[in-house]
Amino acid sequence: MEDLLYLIPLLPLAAFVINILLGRGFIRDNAHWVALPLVGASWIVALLVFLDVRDTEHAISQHLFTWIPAGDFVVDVNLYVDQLTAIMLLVVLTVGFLVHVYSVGYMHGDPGFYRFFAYLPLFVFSMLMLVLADNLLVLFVFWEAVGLCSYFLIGYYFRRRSAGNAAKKAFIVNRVGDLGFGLGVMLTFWTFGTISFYGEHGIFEQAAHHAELGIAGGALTAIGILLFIGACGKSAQFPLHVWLPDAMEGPTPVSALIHAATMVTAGIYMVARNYTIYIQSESAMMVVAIVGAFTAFMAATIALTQNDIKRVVAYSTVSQLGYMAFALGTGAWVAAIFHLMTHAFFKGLLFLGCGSVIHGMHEEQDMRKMGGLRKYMPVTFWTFLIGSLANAGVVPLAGFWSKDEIIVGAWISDSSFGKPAAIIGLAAAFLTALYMFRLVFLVFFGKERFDTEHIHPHESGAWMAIPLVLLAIPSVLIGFVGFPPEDGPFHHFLHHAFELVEVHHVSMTTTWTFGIISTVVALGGIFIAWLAYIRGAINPAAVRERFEGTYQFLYNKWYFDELYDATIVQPLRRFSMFLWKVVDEGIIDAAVNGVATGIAAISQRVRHVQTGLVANYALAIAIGMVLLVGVYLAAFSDLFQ
Amino acid sequence: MPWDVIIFYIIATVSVLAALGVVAARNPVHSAVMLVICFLNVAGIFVMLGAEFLAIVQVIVYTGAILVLVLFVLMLVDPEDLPSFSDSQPLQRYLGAIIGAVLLLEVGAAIITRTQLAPQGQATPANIDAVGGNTQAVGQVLFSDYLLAFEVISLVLTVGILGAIALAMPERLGERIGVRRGTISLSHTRGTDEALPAGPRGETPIHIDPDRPRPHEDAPRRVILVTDPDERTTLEGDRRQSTAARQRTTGTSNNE
Amino acid sequence: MSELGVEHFLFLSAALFIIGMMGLLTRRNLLVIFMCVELMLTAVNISLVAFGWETNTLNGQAFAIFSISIAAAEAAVGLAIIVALSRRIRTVDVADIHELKD
Repeated sequence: MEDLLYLIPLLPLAAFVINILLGRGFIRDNAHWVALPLVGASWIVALLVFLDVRDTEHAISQHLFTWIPAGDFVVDVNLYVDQLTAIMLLVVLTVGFLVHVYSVGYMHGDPGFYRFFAYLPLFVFSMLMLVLADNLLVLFVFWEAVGLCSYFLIGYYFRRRSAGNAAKKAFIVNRVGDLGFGLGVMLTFWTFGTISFYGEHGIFEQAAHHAELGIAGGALTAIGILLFIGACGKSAQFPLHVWLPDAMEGPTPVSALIHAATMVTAGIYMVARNYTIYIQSESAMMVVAIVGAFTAFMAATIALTQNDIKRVVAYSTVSQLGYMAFALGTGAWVAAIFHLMTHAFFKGLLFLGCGSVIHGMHEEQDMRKMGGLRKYMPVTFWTFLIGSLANAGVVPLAGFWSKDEIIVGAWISDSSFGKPAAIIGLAAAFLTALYMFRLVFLVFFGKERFDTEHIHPHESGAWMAIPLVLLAIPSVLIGFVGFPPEDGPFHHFLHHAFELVEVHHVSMTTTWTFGIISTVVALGGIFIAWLAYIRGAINPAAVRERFEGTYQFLYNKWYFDELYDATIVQPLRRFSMFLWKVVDEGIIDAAVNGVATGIAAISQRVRHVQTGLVANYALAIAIGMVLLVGVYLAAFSDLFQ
Repeated sequence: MPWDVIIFYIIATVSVLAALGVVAARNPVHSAVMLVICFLNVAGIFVMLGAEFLAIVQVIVYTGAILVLVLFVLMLVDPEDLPSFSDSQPLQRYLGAIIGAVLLLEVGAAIITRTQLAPQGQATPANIDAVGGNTQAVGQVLFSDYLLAFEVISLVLTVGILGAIALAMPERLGERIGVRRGTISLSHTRGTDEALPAGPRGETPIHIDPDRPRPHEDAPRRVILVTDPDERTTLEGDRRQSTAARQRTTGTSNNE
Repeated sequence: MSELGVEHFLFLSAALFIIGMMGLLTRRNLLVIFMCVELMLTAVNISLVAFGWETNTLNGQAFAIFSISIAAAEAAVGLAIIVALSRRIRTVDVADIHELKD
């Protein structure tokens, strides 16, 4: 299989190249016939690779070429597939392929159809290279590449000002994180003298034996924290989470693929990939855990109050990414990847469901103007319900198993933050169930709150419905690969990727206890949502008035945007204005213009010397000759000796 | 006083006087004749310096070729075009005299105080006689030490000839109709001192009457005014009037 | 100065050169100016040959031959320019040729 690895990224890249070069002139509305088969073929190769890795239990790799041969510093571009990568490949390509299919229906008739089907395979290519990279530098390059694709696709409707601004915001906020990542890469090279992950002198081998090699533990902590700053940017963790909700300006399939299922999990993947460094540093782990837990809780509270259907799901994504992050931070590596996988399916499903609702409602995104859609779009309703149950963590859907495992993993971990994290996780799980079913009840139940005279919601076509059904199936079933808890096939499979992690054996009592608690919590959340939005026993408006201050605080997303605007954006803007108006225009431009003006003024005077008369020039030459001979006489001859 | 010194003084005196005649003659033809005399004497100087070959070259090339060419050109140029002798710019005249005097003093001082630095060479009169005379000796030097320079000179002469042809070749079209498309504006003072419309400098366009008869071969002298390549016209100046005007301004130019 | 020395020739050369230069500076007729330039070139040739004569070398004569060749080429081009000027702007007066100024 090693020889075929290159096909996995190459096929989507080919789709990109063909569509971007020929799309405008020749392919136009048939662009999906290029992208679909190629991405599908890539999926098949990835599946074969996955089976190969599962059977042999060995990592496989393929050397493509040497990128930077600079003395001792050699950067090879290798494709490397271990169990972790194999999982990521399948997740990316499965969701990616289904989103491609869905986009055919969703983007139908869009003038930029070919462009969309060029960027989407480019993103898939970059994401695949990111997970296939076997050194930090290649990973970093494609880390930036997925950010670039994200920028393209958020700003896909570039004629809309808000889309352009959201794209810029996503890009700039990610720059902050990428600065941390970049510094982390440099510090890694400085510390270990290499950026390759594996091999005898690879980062991981050295990090595992850092005590014998004389590498300071503090360096490992610094590397861990710097890399996590990068992960914060990409995976929308506090305090760099602000871009993700705005990224919903992009087309909904993009939100599903990039901003829910795959790209935002790159940060989680990267931390998991570098787990060897993190397990050497308790402080770095602690930072990851605290940030993750806080993000999970904060995003869940914000999601409660939002009215835009996509924003609710977006904050849900931030919250679930927070779960993954604190799972990483408390040492529940496998649980984090497990949740990454299940989340990719059910959150992809939820976003595609949102897209279907928005499509059926003629681009309406405000939940307050929906309601009763159950009977108009049954397929969307049922699949969305499955996704919501999975997200809320209801037995036996996918989300339950992974979320429960994260909470258990945090509870039993050695980390001193483990138990608080588990409790925060349970609180967030309650909120998750509440906001998900608030959304479901508002959108699909109750009376129609829109103008039934003019708006006729309709079920989406087969191109969109089939991916919904296909994603609903794993959303129900994929959790069973992790059954029984801590001992399922998934854990055995991933065990090889996390060899250095000590496996905690959880008692059945703990597992059952937490399983029951989280089920109760989830059902409690659903029940309260039911009381509030179906039964009417609780009046949401009254609750809102009672806690007006809290509501405003949450509704305005904890005022993060305002805070950043006041503390970072405005001072930076004033500083830039100062640089522009005073330094650039006042000093630099003035100096340049002054020199030019001065020379022009002098030239204006001096130009009268040029009479244009040959005789004057001859005279000047003669005078020069006289002076030259005079200089000779004065300086070199014996005349005055 | 040895004979050679006496001969030198005679030749030098004649050549300096002839040179002064070149500069001072009013008529350019006289200048050319004076220059011929001067160059012949310089050839004599070359003989005295043992450079017989060079003396012959001087006579053939300078007096025989270049000066004849100058005389041809003198005939080609209309005497009306020649400037007056007396109209020289006073500044040039005084400054020229001062510079000449200063330079003479300087060079004189340099000659008197000079020291010989170059080593003696092998080309003594005895050695030159041994190879068969001055011409043979110079030929050997030219075709050994200066071979590359010699070949380059042939190239320079070729290019010079081509350049001369390109410059002096009459423009057929222009000659026939008196106007050449794309001619650079040569707004000459003599052309503009006649009454002209405001157009030539480009302020107002000149309207060309399409029915206006074309100037033909023997048309009188005309001033070419071209403000831009697409818009051109010829203003046929009244020859008698312009000639009279020119004579007023140039005075005795025809006597030169 | 009873014996013929190189200084004789150098003074002659200087005299011819300066006469030519003064003609160049004062005359307005391009043809006369051209002749003055030729005079100056010849004056320099006298110096070259005289120095060679003094040191018993032939380099001076070789230089002079090259100088005459260049003068011939210069004569061809220079006279062609004069012809062209005469034909185009109908003057050979240097005081009237100031197109460069505009």
